[in-house]
Amino acid sequence: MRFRHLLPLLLAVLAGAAQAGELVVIVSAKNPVSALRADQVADIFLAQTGRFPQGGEAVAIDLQYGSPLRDEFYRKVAARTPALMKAYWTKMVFTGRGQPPKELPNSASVRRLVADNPLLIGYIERSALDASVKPVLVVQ
Amino acid sequence: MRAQAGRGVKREGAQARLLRLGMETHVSLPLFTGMLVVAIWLVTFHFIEAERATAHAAALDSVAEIADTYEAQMARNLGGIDQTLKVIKYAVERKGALGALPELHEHGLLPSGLVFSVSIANAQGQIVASNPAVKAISVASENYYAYHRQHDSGAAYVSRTMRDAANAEYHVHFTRRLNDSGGGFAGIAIVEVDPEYFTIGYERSRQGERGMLALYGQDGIVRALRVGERVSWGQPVPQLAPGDQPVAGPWDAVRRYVRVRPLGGFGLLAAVGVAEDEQMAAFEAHRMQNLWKAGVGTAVLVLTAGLLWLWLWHGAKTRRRIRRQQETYAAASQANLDAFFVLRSVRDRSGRIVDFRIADANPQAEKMTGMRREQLAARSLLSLLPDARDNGILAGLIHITLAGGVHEQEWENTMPQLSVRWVHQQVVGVEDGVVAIVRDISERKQAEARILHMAHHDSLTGLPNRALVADRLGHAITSARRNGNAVMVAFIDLDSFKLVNDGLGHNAGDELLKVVAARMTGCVRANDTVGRFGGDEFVLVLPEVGDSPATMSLLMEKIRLAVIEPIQLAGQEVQVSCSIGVSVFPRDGIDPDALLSNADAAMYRAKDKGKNNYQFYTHEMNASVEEKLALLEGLRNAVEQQQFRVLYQPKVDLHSGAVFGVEALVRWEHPEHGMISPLRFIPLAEESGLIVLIGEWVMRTACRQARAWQDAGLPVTVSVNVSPRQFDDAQLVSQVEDALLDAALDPQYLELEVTESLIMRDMQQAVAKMRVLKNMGVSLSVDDFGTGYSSLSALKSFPISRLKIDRSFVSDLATSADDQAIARAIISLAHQLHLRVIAEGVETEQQQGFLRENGCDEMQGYLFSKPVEASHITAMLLRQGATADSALA
Repeated sequence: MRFRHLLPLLLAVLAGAAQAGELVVIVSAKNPVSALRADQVADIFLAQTGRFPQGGEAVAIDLQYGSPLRDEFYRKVAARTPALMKAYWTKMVFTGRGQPPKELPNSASVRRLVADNPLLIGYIERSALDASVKPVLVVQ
Repeated sequence: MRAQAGRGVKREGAQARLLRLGMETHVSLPLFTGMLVVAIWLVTFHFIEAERATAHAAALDSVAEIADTYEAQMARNLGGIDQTLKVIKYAVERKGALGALPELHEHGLLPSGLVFSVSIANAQGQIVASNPAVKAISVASENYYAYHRQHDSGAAYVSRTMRDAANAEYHVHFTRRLNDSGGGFAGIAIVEVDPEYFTIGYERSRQGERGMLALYGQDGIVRALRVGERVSWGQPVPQLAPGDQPVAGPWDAVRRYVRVRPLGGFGLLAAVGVAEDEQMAAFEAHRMQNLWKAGVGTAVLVLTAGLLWLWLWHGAKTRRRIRRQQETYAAASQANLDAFFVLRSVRDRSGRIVDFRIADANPQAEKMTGMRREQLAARSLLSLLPDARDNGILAGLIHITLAGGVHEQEWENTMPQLSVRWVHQQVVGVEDGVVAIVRDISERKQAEARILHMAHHDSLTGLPNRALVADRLGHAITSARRNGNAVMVAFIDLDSFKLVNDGLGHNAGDELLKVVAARMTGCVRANDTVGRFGGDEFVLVLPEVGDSPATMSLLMEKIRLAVIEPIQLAGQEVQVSCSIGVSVFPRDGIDPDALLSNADAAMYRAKDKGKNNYQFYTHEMNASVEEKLALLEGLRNAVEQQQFRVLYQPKVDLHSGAVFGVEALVRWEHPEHGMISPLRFIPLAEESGLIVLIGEWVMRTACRQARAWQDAGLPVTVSVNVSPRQFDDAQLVSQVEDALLDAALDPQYLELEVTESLIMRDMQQAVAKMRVLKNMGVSLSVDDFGTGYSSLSALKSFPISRLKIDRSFVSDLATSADDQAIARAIISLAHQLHLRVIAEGVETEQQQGFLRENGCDEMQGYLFSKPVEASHITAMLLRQGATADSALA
């Protein structure tokens, strides 16, 4: 079970720079979570759950509204266009079921923030990846 | 009073009829079905109404619940927005317009830029900060700017849904006034929200496709309106009249249940609506379903009831028909004069019919069997009529049962159990049995027997008649031919029966016949036949008689003697003899006609031989019959070939001795047989009718002769005999006229002689005819006077001038005192009536002397002259004339 999730990740890591522009979902290197499925990631980012599958509290960090990376992320992870995402959050906010994640301007700031806090989860350009954070999903 | 009572009865009758109709299943069933259908529909509509009410209530509940939810959401959201405005105001007043937003962002106090646009305008209306960042435009021209500039009420303001240069999208602007430290107008905090945000709570699952969410201000302008998927704004809102009944929306024609809730803070109102048709769709569907169910139920019920009714009705009809048939049958069989037996076959184990059970019988059958119907029903055919097993009745019935059809027959009943003798039975094969219709035809059979007897027997004597005699003779001949026997046929004719009949009357005659018949029957054996052919003719048929003439003679003599025995009739003793002719099969003929004819011939021979005897047939006898036929044939030729001659016998005045007239007498000169006696051919001519032709010829001849004598100066009267047949002829008078005209003879020279018996047959008519002739000038005389039975009074009325004494009285005049007395009486009588008297057949001087002495006027006969040729008469008259002349001289 575990290998099946690990394998694509390892392959992605080995592929290196050849995969520039790719997104990776990251958590703090201190976070015990090692890998997540796309739907688990989506649930956290869409405020459907506030916890990692392992049980730890999870807080999503988003990129700025209108960022191409952000649009790509939601298209791939949650299969939603920006318009749908907006409608989604409008409804979530209106009904009081949730607030959109905190937004940061770029991958580096996300990485920085996530690296320090094991509760956080974010996504960054693969190229911005470093040892301070741990990729749990390569978004393809 | 009476009328009322009448009406009451009538009404009651109608009620009873209705009740009876109601009891009839085929009437009550449709009624019941109808009531059931009504009940179904009542229940259905009741349920539909209940469901409608439920659905209505549910819709109201639903809209209220949605309104509650929406109200709560709106309250929270508006509260959040106002909170944001207040936080911005606080931060701006603390940190200044430029530092406020980052500060708040830093602390996560700004709402999501995704949904809310936050901006800050300075006192001049210039946007100085915004999140997300937008173009720094001026809002000085906006309403809220003017509002906040002028008012420092501390209240929030909500704009209409609008757009500005910074944002092409329509937004609702929520604003608050910013004050400087001096309380002066420092700018405006603005939160812009997409109008869709306020209707995002629309849940299709709850509100359907045409539900409504609306947010509008107290100014009556819509900030956000969602109907189904479509969001709009800006339209004015008429007064929404929320109630329990659905109303047509202000924006479209959809009827909705609507709830309106006022919201605190911004002076906004939330309206919620659900489309009636959607809310009621389930109900409607269910309603249709219920209607369908009821409809189908009704159809099934009606169809079932209809089929049931048809079946019942058919059954009722069939029962009625059967009942009618039974009643008809019962009525017909009860009233019928025939006996009805309904028989059902009784079969043994192998299925063979061995007997019949009497299933039903009518009163006539009861009468015929002497048993009651119930008793009959308990019996079988064989127990009722044991003989039926062996006399073919059972076998016949079994055959008819198996073969079917209608079978009729008549039979003579010998079974003592049935009280009839002759029956006509009609047996009809029905299913597993027969119906026997038995009619008592004993009476008819008796009548038939009686008619048969009458047809074959003489009603007077009870003896077999001609037909039966012929039949028996035929049988006797057939039998005799087979056995080689002889059959004797005797023809018996009573000799002087006519005298008895005429003299003593018909009753005496009938009595005589009966006695004679009985006597003859007494003389023969049982299987012999004595028959009567009519009149005084009897016939004997004696089969199986010995061929010996002696035996036959003995029997004939026995009969002759039996008949001649004296009989007491009408107080007188009468004796009649008989003449018998006998023929024998096969000697005298081999068929009944020949035997009867030959016996008849033999009988005539016996008559010829002086009567009171019997004669066996001989072949010569037939010769006389043949002769008669030949004579008749010759007579016909004689008329055509003028073989007759007329002779004249002079009539002499007894006192003067002079010839004063002649009687014309016809003679037949046969070319082969010479002169034939009138005694032979006149009866034949009379019988065949030729006498009319002969008589006419004689009359013409005589008239012409009289004229000839007259022309010769020898006037004499000519007498012509008129036979009965001639007299009856309608042409007689014209014939006489023609003859007189033809000869140009004065009628006074013609005298017609008619016989007494001729007149007496029908006196009135005869006298009338005689008068006609008399009026013509023709004189008439009565011939053969004394032989008939004319009464004196009748004689008086005859238009005659002369009586002729019959020759039978004249012949014995010399010796018979009786005849003398008769002659004297006739002469005296005639003279009393002023008639002249002539005697005929005067042959002797004695006779002439007696007649002359007793005053008879005239005579004719051989004494003076036989009938002679006309020329002899002429000579005689000439001589007489000469004598007279010489005497005169």
